[in-house]
Amino acid sequence: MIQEKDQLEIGDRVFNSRLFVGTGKYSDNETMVKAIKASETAMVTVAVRRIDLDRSQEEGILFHLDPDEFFLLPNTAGCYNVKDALRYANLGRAAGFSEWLKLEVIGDESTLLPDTQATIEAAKILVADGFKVMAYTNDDLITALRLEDVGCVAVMPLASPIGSGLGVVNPYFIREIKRRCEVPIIVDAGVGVASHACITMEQGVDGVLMNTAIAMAENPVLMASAMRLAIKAGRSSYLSGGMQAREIAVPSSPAKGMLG
Amino acid sequence: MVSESNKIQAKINGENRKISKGFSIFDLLESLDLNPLLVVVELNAVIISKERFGEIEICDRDQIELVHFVGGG
Repeated sequence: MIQEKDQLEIGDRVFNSRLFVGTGKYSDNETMVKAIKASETAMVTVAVRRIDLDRSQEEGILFHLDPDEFFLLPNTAGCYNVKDALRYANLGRAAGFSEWLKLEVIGDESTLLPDTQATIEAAKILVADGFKVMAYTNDDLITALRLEDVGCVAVMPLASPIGSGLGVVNPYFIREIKRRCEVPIIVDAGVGVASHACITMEQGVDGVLMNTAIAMAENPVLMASAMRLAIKAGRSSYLSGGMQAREIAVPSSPAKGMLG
Repeated sequence: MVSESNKIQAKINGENRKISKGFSIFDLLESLDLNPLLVVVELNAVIISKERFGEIEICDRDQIELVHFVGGG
């Protein structure tokens, strides 16, 4: 039986889904909205960017996504230092929907790995300024603990680099982060296919945030649906307390009662 | 026709643009066909709350950033 009532609490909010999705990279907005609906997500991430003054306002995401229907989480994607992250965070908050933020401070262009020192510094300032910070970070326990210490409402270690689709490359560290932190752990980035999402949830984490895996699938709506099921399956598998693996065979049928 | 002396120059999203003297932020958004509810405005690196769009007049050489939410992960 799939757990019917398995809500996720982050900060002062309760979410009915453990799958969070991004809104970037879709071929068109109609597909994006259909995929988001198929995912049954509780939270969607958005980016803050300059308006292209020579194009129509339909380019903006709010033209397609109703903030009353989807909880919007502005991100600081593309920021490489504390100052820029704070600026983007404040612009995101000024849109007027909430004080929630996905903090991302990138340290390297080719791997998009986070600058963990800058992330901690920015998180500290933003939390003091009233933001509810969900911080994207490496699969590094010490950084996760520091982010929790400075008051982040959730810590979001990567499964593997952003957009790589490699799945969770270090399940041991992900489990250790989950075991040691008290705030929810949302694995962010790196999931490629539904089995990755399932395996990630089987590590006991509280949720998964993904974008490319759904947006870049040949059929994003179908993949969104697969991800929804995979997240639920992985969560139920974790909660069910699966058997211990062993390297020898053990028969499933009785050895006794065989014909002589 | 409006004479050049009735125009000021502001940098909007990195582009130098001539706009009418006396334009408020609200007027600017309207002239660009932008819905004020969907736009966040930064004037000379200070975020302007939506309630003040109508009262703040744009000055010569102001730097204005008009941003909104787009798809992102």
